[in-house]
Order: sequence, then C-alpha cells, then structure tokens
Amino acid sequence: MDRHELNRMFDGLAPGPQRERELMKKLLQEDGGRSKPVKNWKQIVAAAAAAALLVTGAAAAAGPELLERLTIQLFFGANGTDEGYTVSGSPMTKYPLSAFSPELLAASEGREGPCAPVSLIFDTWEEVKTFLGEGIPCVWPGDGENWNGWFQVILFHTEYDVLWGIDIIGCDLKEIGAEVEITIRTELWRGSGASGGLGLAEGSLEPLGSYTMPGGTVAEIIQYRGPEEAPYQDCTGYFMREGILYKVTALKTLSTEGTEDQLKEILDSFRS
Amino acid sequence: MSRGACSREELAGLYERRFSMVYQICLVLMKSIPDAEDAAQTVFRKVMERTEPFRDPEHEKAWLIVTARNECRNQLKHWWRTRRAGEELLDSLAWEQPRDGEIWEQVAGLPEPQRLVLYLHYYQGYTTGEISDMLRENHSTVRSRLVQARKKLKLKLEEEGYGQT
Repeated sequence: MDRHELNRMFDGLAPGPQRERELMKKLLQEDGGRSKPVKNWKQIVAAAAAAALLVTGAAAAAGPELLERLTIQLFFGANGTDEGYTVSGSPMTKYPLSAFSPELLAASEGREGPCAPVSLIFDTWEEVKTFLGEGIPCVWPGDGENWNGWFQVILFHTEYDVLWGIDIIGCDLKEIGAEVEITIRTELWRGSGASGGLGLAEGSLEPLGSYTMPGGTVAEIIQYRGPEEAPYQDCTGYFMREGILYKVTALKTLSTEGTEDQLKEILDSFRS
Repeated sequence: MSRGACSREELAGLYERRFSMVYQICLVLMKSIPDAEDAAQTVFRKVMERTEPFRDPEHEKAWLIVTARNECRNQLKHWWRTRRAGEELLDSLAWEQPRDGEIWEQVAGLPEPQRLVLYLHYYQGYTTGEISDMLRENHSTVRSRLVQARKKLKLKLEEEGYGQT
C-alpha cells in the first residue's frame, strides 16, 4: 500500500455533493430549533449531576477529613449483554488524594481551559495502575489481555464540587502490542457531555423521583431512553450510604418494559 | 443571524469549506455513515453556538478537527455503541476501485487514535508536531501512533520522507 492508494481511499470517504447539500439545508433550517431538545436533556443531566454532587457534598460536610477526597467510579463496557438487562453501575468509593499517584495529580493540575483532554499512552496495565496509584483498587478486565473495550473512571472532587473524568481505553493490538490510553479531563474541561460525563446519545432523560430502599435509604432515579437508532434505555439510581455515593444502572432494550422495576429490585438488594 | 458568532451565510460558507473534512474524520472514527452524519451535524451545531469568531482559517480548521474528534469519542464511549461494534462495516460506500475497499478494511481495523493520526498526517498533511499541538497530546505519542499504524498497514512511506516532523 502506498500513500496515493491510502489517500484515494480517504477521498472515497467524502460525502456525495447531493448528500452534503441535503445535510446543509437541514442544518440551516434547524438554525437552533434542533438544539432545544439537546439543551433540555443537558439541563436535566446537569440537574442530575448536581443532585449527585449535592449528595456527595453532604458527605463532605460530615467531617473535615472528607474534604480532600476524590470519589472514583468505574464503568466497564457492557459485554455479553445482547438482550435483557445487566447492571453497569458500581459502588462509588472514596479515596483520599494521597492514594492517587503524584503523577496523576500533577497531570490534573494547571490546565488552561476550556481545554481538550490530555491523553497519555501506556504500554501495559501495570503502568496504568502505577499512574493511577497503587492504593486504587481497580479491577482490571482480563488482566489486560485480549480485551478491546473501554472503561471510564469518573472522579468527583468533593472539595470543589466539580467533576473530573478519566477515560481509559484499552486495546489489544496483537501484532504491535498493547496500548492503553488515559484521557484526563479537569474541572476546566467543557467538552460535550461534561455536565455529567454520561456520554449520552441524543435521547430523553427523565427524573422518576425518589425510591425508599430497605433500611430507609432514599435513591433518586433517572431514566434515559435512547433514540430509534440507539434502541436502548437505562434506569439509574443514585443513593448515599455510609458516606459512599452509589450509582446503579439497569440497562434494557428500548422495546422492553420494566427497567424501573428491575432497578428497584436491584436497589432492594443493597441491604445494610 | 444564527445564535452564535457567525451569520447564516458565514455558516453556509464554513460548511461548504469544511464539511467534507469533518465528515471524513467522523466516518474514520465512527465507521458508520449515519453516525458520521449525526456527529458531523453536531459539530456544526456547535459552530452555531460559538460566541467567539475563529481567529483565522487554521484556527477554524483545528477547532473543527478537535471538536469532531471529541464528539465522536463522546458518542463511541456510550455503552450501547460497544454492542454495535462490527455491525456496520460501511457496506454502502461506493469505492472508486475495489482495492480502496480493501484498504479501508485494514484502516478500519486500527485503533481509533491511530486512524485519526493517519488521516490527519497523510490526507490533511499535518506534521506529527502539528497534530500533537492540535490534539494536546504528547509528540512522542502521536509519532508512536503513526509508526504503529504504518507498521500495521505495512505502509512503505519512509523513503518518501513521510512521518517526519
């Protein structure tokens, strides 16, 4: 393969002139009208994130020892979940800043915003672990072998009530070795989805109200329904227990009913 | 006037100048025509929301590249897309030559960061230094991606001086 062949292939990826005109016409006709639903769900996401942070903030207020803490949550790619439901939520556990490596903390500081994510490349999972901090008990998928997915670490900095995010994208490239990429988004990041780090496709997000779990803990439930081209829905419950913010998400295809009930069953299993 | 810094006419001009590039980036990253169209449209909606004008054409181009990359990444990381991997292989693309389809299959098999660097370097003509500045990534990282992509594709371009900064 030579450069000319490669670029001829890239030429072939360009849209046809007619399709380009159609899309431009559509965009100009929208002229802001289409942005309204996006804005609406973003506001809801922001409200949801604010609610979650409010709960986190309440925990921080419980004692000065909690002020300098980060909350870490791992999302793993939902593998093997073609039908039915699974739970992608994980308990949020707090770790003191001292648990994170100086390198990670240094990389998170001093960014000028709004900024693009800062990306770091690691060759092995061991290097990733070292970078995050030896005290961070991450579960590493398949020991990093033969895995081609992603997971996301979201950090809530409770001192400033802002959201940091770290995306970790792992690839098994076989012939050329493993590559792990970490993207750190600081509090200055204003990229798409920054309000909640949820990475939602356009869809609808609806608060379903409070749900009292066994033992009296109250969870706030939010439902997301994807558009037709992404026919999935998820239902997420946020709750705080013993200073830990939990996020539990039940996932289903869009045509399946009962996600909220399923989530409540899962929430009921969190017994004190 | 649109809501942002550019007028409707300016937006139309920008669209004509840059849509192909934004769309190609989105297609390279998303590997799906409907997804690429959606992502590209979203990028231009964000142009409409901008309150500050672009400083110059290079700033405009770099902003669109970074915004397209971020939009695609944001979409790709959502969990439902992880299930759709491999479902859409751009069968509807009409290639000028059958060989182009074969090359696309090889390029599509590369990790997303390598695909983007490949496109920006060979097609858009950016040096690895310019790419690292634009994407705010380490220069060595960008070079490494390019080397890995080339190795994977067995691109014999060194003799032409490509890959140099």
